[in-house]
Amino acid sequence: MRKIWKSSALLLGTAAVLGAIALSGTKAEAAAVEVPVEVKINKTLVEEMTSKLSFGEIDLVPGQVETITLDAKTDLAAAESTATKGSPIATYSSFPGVITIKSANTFKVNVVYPTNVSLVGTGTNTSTVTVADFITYSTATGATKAPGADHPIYIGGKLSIPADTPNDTYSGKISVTVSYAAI
Amino acid sequence: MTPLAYTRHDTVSLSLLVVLAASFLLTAMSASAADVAVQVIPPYFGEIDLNPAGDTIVIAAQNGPATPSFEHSVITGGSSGILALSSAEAGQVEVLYPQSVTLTSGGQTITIRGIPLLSQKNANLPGGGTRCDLSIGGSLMLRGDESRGTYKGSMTIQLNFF
Repeated sequence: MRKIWKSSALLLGTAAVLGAIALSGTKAEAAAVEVPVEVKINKTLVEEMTSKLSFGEIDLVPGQVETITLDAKTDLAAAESTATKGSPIATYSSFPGVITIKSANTFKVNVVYPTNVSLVGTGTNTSTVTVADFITYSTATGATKAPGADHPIYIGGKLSIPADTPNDTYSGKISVTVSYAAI
Repeated sequence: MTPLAYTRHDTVSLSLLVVLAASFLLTAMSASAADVAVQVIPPYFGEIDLNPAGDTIVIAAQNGPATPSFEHSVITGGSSGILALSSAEAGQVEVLYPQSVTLTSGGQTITIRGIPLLSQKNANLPGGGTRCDLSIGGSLMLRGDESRGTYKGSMTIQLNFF
């Protein structure tokens, strides 16, 4: 019986030492926090090409290098192609390209145009014509889209036609990058 | 008494010892843990008007508060999360974030990645009850074909105090 008391006293002493070590040692504590996370997705944003870019039906003056411009940047109502060397262009045959942005929100619309693009004859010939200066003749980047309203991006450019280019329909594709930023 | 009897009694005492020592340890930890107040505001990726072509929305908060960056979608609002800590005593905190968090809505899932890379992970707690904020960020990659809706989930943040 006496031995039992001795043993218990020893153990209690050991426990006290261990407790003291726990209290006096370097503190390293940990905690875990559960955090709810939520993401809301809407899908009202629409980008669509509502009109392709056409420089019109051009009756090329023989032996002349021709330049056709279609200015869709400032005066869209008068956005018709004009020829610097006088090649006739059929009335109402030219029109700017239009990309329409639809969304319920308001934001800034940034647009990046290509430097130039080649159009290739769709018939038997392999001649090309070149369109450039999209930035000069198209909707400027950074415009603000009004809330709820459609936002059109008008695309014009400058078409360079080598002399005596064969009769044909010349076509190609331009890649326009549209991005958005909060106002 | 037999040696066996002594042995049995010592075993009982040893169990008491373990319980007693453990109670000391737990008391020390919980008392100190109670000294650190923790509040969390989760990261908010804003109202996302998703571009059908998809997008990657990034909150780069590794250097402090940040707002979402994006390219093809329209994001209204949004901000990094806040892990607000305050303690009576000065000390240090290390934060361990999950690598990713999956959120679900109607059977569809989206995933926030890069949380440790885009969040603040260490801070010195000044003590005296002064608040210390750490920013929480992440990267949300969306394919564009996700359904509209509210995607919900949770992440566990581990805090180590020194």
